[in-house]
Amino acid sequence: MLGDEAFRLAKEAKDIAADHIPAYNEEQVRLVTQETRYLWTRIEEMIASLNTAVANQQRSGSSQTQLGSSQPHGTPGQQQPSQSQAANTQQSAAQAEIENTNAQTALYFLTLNRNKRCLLAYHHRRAQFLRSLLWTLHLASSMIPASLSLRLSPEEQNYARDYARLNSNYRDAVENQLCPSDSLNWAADGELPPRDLFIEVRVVKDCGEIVTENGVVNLQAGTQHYLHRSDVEHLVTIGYLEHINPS
Amino acid sequence: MDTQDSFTGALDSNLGLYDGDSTNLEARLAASDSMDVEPQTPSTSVRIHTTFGADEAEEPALDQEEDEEEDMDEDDLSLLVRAWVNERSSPEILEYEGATLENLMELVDFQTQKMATQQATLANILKMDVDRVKYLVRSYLRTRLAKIEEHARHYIKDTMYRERLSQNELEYAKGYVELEERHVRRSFLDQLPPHLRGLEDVAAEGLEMVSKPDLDAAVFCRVRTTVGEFQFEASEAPIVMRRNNIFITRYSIIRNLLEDGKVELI
Repeated sequence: MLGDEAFRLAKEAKDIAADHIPAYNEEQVRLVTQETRYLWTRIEEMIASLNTAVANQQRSGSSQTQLGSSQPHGTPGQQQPSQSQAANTQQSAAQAEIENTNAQTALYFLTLNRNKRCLLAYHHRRAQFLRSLLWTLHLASSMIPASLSLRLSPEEQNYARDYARLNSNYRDAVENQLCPSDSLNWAADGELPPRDLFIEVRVVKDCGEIVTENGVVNLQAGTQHYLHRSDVEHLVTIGYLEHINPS
Repeated sequence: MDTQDSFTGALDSNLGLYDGDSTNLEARLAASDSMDVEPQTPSTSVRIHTTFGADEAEEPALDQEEDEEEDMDEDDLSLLVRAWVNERSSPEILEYEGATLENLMELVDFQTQKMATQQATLANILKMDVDRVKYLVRSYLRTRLAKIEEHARHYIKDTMYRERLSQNELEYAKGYVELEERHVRRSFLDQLPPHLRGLEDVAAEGLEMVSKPDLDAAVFCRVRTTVGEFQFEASEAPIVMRRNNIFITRYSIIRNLLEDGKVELI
């Protein structure tokens, strides 16, 4: 049915949850764009036929109606002049035909716009998901887990990369402006204010050795450490370390 | 209400003084550059109202203390905290607190240098302090970025909003709009008929493709300096807005008061 394909797309956009995204539905997007293109050619045909019909009518009933031949352009409205009370039956039939086509054009036109809206909404929602995912990975687009990146379209992977670049440009610019000699610790958790200076962490994945202010620490999987929050916070954010007993 | 009756005279005279002061304030605001709007130093009117508050027997002691505190010159930190809370609760983007941020980061720099010469314990405390300030700055900037992303297209088109963004933010917004547009164009828009490729169309019913902040959203606000009688759109009689009163109202109604710093969002 008309508009069903777009509806499916919109429904899929709605299914996106905080931690789950369905695979990019290229097939469905293609179907919708195809339908849209088809409807557009139909509209063009109809407008053309409408124009000839109006022209014919004007020729036959010269003084009868004043349908501007430019009227059914682009915006197929219902602006049928009220004085179109045809005198003979042939003319009223032609008139009905015109009204019919007009209504159909209007319907198609609305469907076109709806299709476009659904497409936009679908892509917008997915981009939104990607953005919040990137923030949690503190903008390392290469850190997107393989299970997720499989579900993204090539375009979306580009988008993720570009977004990350845009954002880090901004961060660098701000740091240069506000604290040229220091860093703002962008990698740290943005949601919760820091409570303790030191935190106890358990290593989930091997991180190798890191250099802290007080020396080198070897972060082997399974070990536990008591460290400066700012030294290891970025590792906690991306899930290499686990924060034990956060207060 | 009975307390008000007994103080009507005092209130009236205060209001008179206050009106004069508020026009002064506006003139000062208009004169100063929008980026450098200094925190409103406690004006005469504020002090008058404090004494008024102190006269009142019903006013709990705690409130008075709070009043006193707020009447002092606000330091950059509390300015930023207020800007941060306002930013988080308001539907539209607010003025960028550029000067405050710069001052604050200078202090942080100073603190960091001091840390090197201190004992470990003291240095740790200072570090904690620095970390917290940085968190605040980060969160403030990030909140603004999130809001910019939401309505980027509208913000870069509207001169008033453009002036509220910092240079970096403006570039970010432009880059973001470009990025978003490129993404949808490549994904599907270029495959649609040419007539349907616009991204800033306005539909016949007035439905626009460019989203705007909802200025009628409900917000909670607290009165910082007594406004006096204020005509809310929805209510018939004007409502007296006094310091520390809390209202829930439409954002558009208190928008100007917020800009003048007379109320704060919570």
